[in-house]
Amino acid sequence: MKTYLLPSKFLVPSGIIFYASVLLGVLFIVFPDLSQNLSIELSVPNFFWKDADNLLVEKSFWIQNNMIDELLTLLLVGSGLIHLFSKEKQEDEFIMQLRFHAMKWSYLLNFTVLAIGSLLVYGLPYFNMMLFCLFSQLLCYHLVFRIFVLQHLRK
Amino acid sequence: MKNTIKINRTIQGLSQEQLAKAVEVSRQTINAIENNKYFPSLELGLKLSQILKCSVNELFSLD
Repeated sequence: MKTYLLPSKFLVPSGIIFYASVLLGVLFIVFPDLSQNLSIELSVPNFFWKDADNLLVEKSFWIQNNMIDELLTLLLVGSGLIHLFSKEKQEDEFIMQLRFHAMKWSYLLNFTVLAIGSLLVYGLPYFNMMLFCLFSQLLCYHLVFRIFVLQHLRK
Repeated sequence: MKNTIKINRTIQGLSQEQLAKAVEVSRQTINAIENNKYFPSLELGLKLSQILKCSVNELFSLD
Protein backbone atom coordinates (compact mmCIF):
# COMPACT_ATOMS: atom_id res chain seq x y z
CA MET A 1 0.00 0.00 0.00
CA LYS A 2 1.43 3.35 -1.05
CA THR A 3 1.56 5.90 1.76
CA TYR A 4 3.20 9.29 2.04
CA LEU A 5 4.65 8.64 5.49
CA LEU A 6 8.24 8.98 6.68
CA PRO A 7 10.34 5.81 7.26
CA SER A 8 9.83 4.10 10.62
CA LYS A 9 13.43 4.89 11.69
CA PHE A 10 12.17 8.40 12.55
CA LEU A 11 9.48 7.09 14.90
CA VAL A 12 11.48 6.50 18.10
CA PRO A 13 13.91 9.49 17.99
CA SER A 14 11.11 11.95 17.15
CA GLY A 15 8.95 10.43 19.91
CA ILE A 16 11.72 10.86 22.50
CA ILE A 17 12.28 14.51 21.44
CA PHE A 18 8.53 15.20 21.38
CA TYR A 19 7.78 13.84 24.87
CA ALA A 20 10.96 15.45 26.27
CA SER A 21 9.90 18.84 24.87
CA VAL A 22 6.37 18.36 26.26
CA LEU A 23 7.93 17.68 29.68
CA LEU A 24 10.20 20.71 29.32
CA GLY A 25 7.19 22.86 28.29
CA VAL A 26 5.24 21.74 31.36
CA LEU A 27 8.30 22.52 33.56
CA PHE A 28 8.51 26.00 32.00
CA ILE A 29 4.85 26.63 32.83
CA VAL A 30 5.11 25.28 36.39
CA PHE A 31 8.50 26.95 37.08
CA PRO A 32 8.59 30.21 35.03
CA ASP A 33 12.04 31.08 36.49
CA LEU A 34 13.51 28.11 34.63
CA SER A 35 13.02 29.71 31.19
CA GLN A 36 14.54 32.96 32.50
CA ASN A 37 17.64 31.09 33.68
CA LEU A 38 18.02 29.35 30.32
CA SER A 39 18.01 32.65 28.47
CA ILE A 40 18.89 32.94 24.75
CA GLU A 41 18.48 36.70 24.15
CA LEU A 42 18.26 37.64 20.47
CA SER A 43 17.24 40.70 18.48
CA VAL A 44 14.23 39.59 16.41
CA PRO A 45 11.75 41.35 14.09
CA ASN A 46 8.28 41.96 15.54
CA PHE A 47 5.96 42.17 12.52
CA PHE A 48 2.91 43.39 14.46
CA TRP A 49 4.81 45.99 16.45
CA LYS A 50 2.13 48.68 15.93
CA ASP A 51 -0.38 46.49 17.79
CA ALA A 52 2.12 45.52 20.50
CA ASP A 53 1.16 45.92 24.13
CA ASN A 54 3.90 47.81 25.98
CA LEU A 55 3.44 45.59 29.01
CA LEU A 56 4.27 42.35 27.18
CA VAL A 57 6.55 43.52 24.37
CA GLU A 58 8.13 46.86 23.43
CA LYS A 59 6.60 48.87 20.57
CA SER A 60 9.35 48.67 17.96
CA PHE A 61 10.10 46.54 14.91
CA TRP A 62 13.33 45.06 16.33
CA ILE A 63 12.93 43.75 19.85
CA GLN A 64 15.11 41.85 22.32
CA ASN A 65 13.49 38.54 23.12
CA ASN A 66 14.31 35.39 25.08
CA MET A 67 14.04 32.78 22.30
CA ILE A 68 13.94 29.71 24.57
CA ASP A 69 10.13 29.33 24.42
CA GLU A 70 10.07 29.90 20.64
CA LEU A 71 12.77 27.25 20.15
CA LEU A 72 10.89 24.86 22.42
CA THR A 73 7.70 25.47 20.39
CA LEU A 74 9.53 24.68 17.14
CA LEU A 75 11.07 21.55 18.69
CA LEU A 76 7.71 20.38 20.02
CA VAL A 77 5.77 21.00 16.80
CA GLY A 78 8.57 19.70 14.53
CA SER A 79 9.19 16.47 16.46
CA GLY A 80 5.45 16.01 17.03
CA LEU A 81 4.73 16.21 13.30
CA ILE A 82 7.62 13.89 12.39
CA HIS A 83 6.37 11.41 15.01
CA LEU A 84 2.83 11.76 13.62
CA PHE A 85 3.90 11.13 10.02
CA SER A 86 6.35 8.28 10.71
CA LYS A 87 5.43 4.76 9.71
CA GLU A 88 4.81 2.16 12.39
CA LYS A 89 7.12 -0.87 12.31
CA GLN A 90 4.38 -2.83 10.57
CA GLU A 91 2.33 -0.22 8.74
CA ASP A 92 -0.79 -1.50 6.97
CA GLU A 93 -4.29 -0.30 6.14
CA PHE A 94 -5.63 -1.18 9.60
CA ILE A 95 -3.02 1.12 11.15
CA MET A 96 -4.11 3.82 8.67
CA GLN A 97 -7.65 3.41 9.95
CA LEU A 98 -6.37 3.69 13.53
CA ARG A 99 -4.66 6.95 12.53
CA PHE A 100 -7.97 8.29 11.28
CA HIS A 101 -9.82 7.20 14.46
CA ALA A 102 -7.11 8.71 16.67
CA MET A 103 -7.37 11.99 14.74
CA LYS A 104 -11.15 11.99 15.18
CA TRP A 105 -10.97 11.30 18.94
CA SER A 106 -8.18 13.81 19.54
CA TYR A 107 -10.26 16.54 17.82
CA LEU A 108 -13.28 15.60 19.89
CA LEU A 109 -11.34 15.51 23.19
CA ASN A 110 -9.44 18.71 22.53
CA PHE A 111 -12.44 20.78 21.51
CA THR A 112 -14.55 19.36 24.36
CA VAL A 113 -11.90 20.61 26.80
CA LEU A 114 -11.89 23.98 25.01
CA ALA A 115 -15.70 24.22 25.08
CA ILE A 116 -15.90 23.35 28.78
CA GLY A 117 -13.02 25.74 29.51
CA SER A 118 -14.81 28.55 27.65
CA LEU A 119 -17.69 28.25 30.12
CA LEU A 120 -15.63 27.78 33.28
CA VAL A 121 -12.34 29.66 32.83
CA TYR A 122 -11.98 33.45 32.44
CA GLY A 123 -9.18 36.03 32.18
CA LEU A 124 -5.51 35.10 31.98
CA PRO A 125 -6.10 31.44 32.93
CA TYR A 126 -8.33 31.21 29.82
CA PHE A 127 -5.44 32.48 27.69
CA ASN A 128 -3.17 29.84 29.27
CA MET A 129 -5.80 27.18 28.62
CA MET A 130 -6.01 28.21 24.95
CA LEU A 131 -2.23 27.96 24.76
CA PHE A 132 -2.43 24.47 26.26
CA CYS A 133 -5.16 23.47 23.75
CA LEU A 134 -2.93 24.62 20.90
CA PHE A 135 -0.44 21.87 21.72
CA SER A 136 -2.71 19.33 23.38
CA GLN A 137 -4.23 18.47 19.98
CA LEU A 138 -0.90 16.95 18.95
CA LEU A 139 -0.31 15.31 22.34
CA CYS A 140 -3.86 13.97 22.45
CA TYR A 141 -3.48 12.42 18.99
CA HIS A 142 -0.21 10.70 19.92
CA LEU A 143 -1.59 9.27 23.16
CA VAL A 144 -4.89 8.08 21.65
CA PHE A 145 -3.12 6.57 18.61
CA ARG A 146 -0.58 4.76 20.82
CA ILE A 147 -3.40 3.30 22.96
CA PHE A 148 -5.20 2.11 19.79
CA VAL A 149 -2.02 0.55 18.37
CA LEU A 150 -1.20 -1.23 21.66
CA GLN A 151 -4.77 -2.57 21.85
CA HIS A 152 -4.49 -3.78 18.23
CA LEU A 153 -1.11 -5.47 18.76
CA ARG A 154 -2.29 -7.22 21.93
CA LYS A 155 -4.89 -9.20 19.97
CA MET B 1 -20.75 -7.92 6.20
CA LYS B 2 -19.47 -11.43 6.98
CA ASN B 3 -16.54 -13.34 5.53
CA THR B 4 -15.25 -16.87 5.12
CA ILE B 5 -11.55 -16.04 5.34
CA LYS B 6 -10.91 -18.32 8.31
CA ILE B 7 -12.54 -21.31 6.54
CA ASN B 8 -10.72 -20.66 3.25
CA ARG B 9 -7.44 -20.07 5.06
CA THR B 10 -7.78 -23.41 6.86
CA ILE B 11 -8.61 -25.14 3.55
CA GLN B 12 -5.42 -23.70 2.05
CA GLY B 13 -3.49 -24.83 5.16
CA LEU B 14 -2.25 -21.33 5.98
CA SER B 15 -1.73 -19.78 9.40
CA GLN B 16 -2.76 -16.18 10.11
CA GLU B 17 0.92 -15.26 10.11
CA GLN B 18 1.54 -16.86 6.68
CA LEU B 19 -1.55 -15.23 5.15
CA ALA B 20 -0.57 -11.88 6.65
CA LYS B 21 2.90 -12.15 5.14
CA ALA B 22 1.47 -13.08 1.73
CA VAL B 23 -0.85 -10.05 1.58
CA GLU B 24 1.65 -7.68 3.31
CA VAL B 25 -0.33 -6.83 6.44
CA SER B 26 0.12 -7.69 10.12
CA ARG B 27 -1.20 -10.88 11.69
CA GLN B 28 -3.38 -8.73 13.94
CA THR B 29 -5.06 -7.23 10.87
CA ILE B 30 -5.95 -10.70 9.54
CA ASN B 31 -7.31 -11.54 13.00
CA ALA B 32 -9.41 -8.32 13.01
CA ILE B 33 -10.79 -9.16 9.52
CA GLU B 34 -11.65 -12.73 10.51
CA ASN B 35 -13.50 -11.50 13.59
CA ASN B 36 -15.41 -8.86 11.60
CA LYS B 37 -13.69 -6.04 13.52
CA TYR B 38 -12.29 -4.57 10.32
CA PHE B 39 -13.50 -4.53 6.74
CA PRO B 40 -10.56 -4.61 4.32
CA SER B 41 -10.08 -2.32 1.34
CA LEU B 42 -10.88 -3.54 -2.16
CA GLU B 43 -7.15 -3.93 -2.83
CA LEU B 44 -6.66 -6.17 0.21
CA GLY B 45 -9.86 -8.07 -0.59
CA LEU B 46 -8.57 -8.85 -4.07
CA LYS B 47 -5.18 -9.93 -2.69
CA LEU B 48 -6.89 -12.23 -0.19
CA SER B 49 -9.04 -13.79 -2.91
CA GLN B 50 -5.91 -14.39 -5.00
CA ILE B 51 -3.99 -16.07 -2.17
CA LEU B 52 -6.99 -18.06 -0.93
CA LYS B 53 -7.84 -19.09 -4.52
CA CYS B 54 -11.50 -18.11 -4.46
CA SER B 55 -13.59 -15.20 -5.71
CA VAL B 56 -14.24 -12.03 -3.67
CA ASN B 57 -17.95 -12.97 -3.65
CA GLU B 58 -17.12 -16.26 -1.96
CA LEU B 59 -14.96 -14.51 0.63
CA PHE B 60 -17.28 -11.62 1.50
CA SER B 61 -21.04 -11.40 1.63
CA LEU B 62 -23.65 -9.06 3.08
CA ASP B 63 -25.48 -10.10 6.27
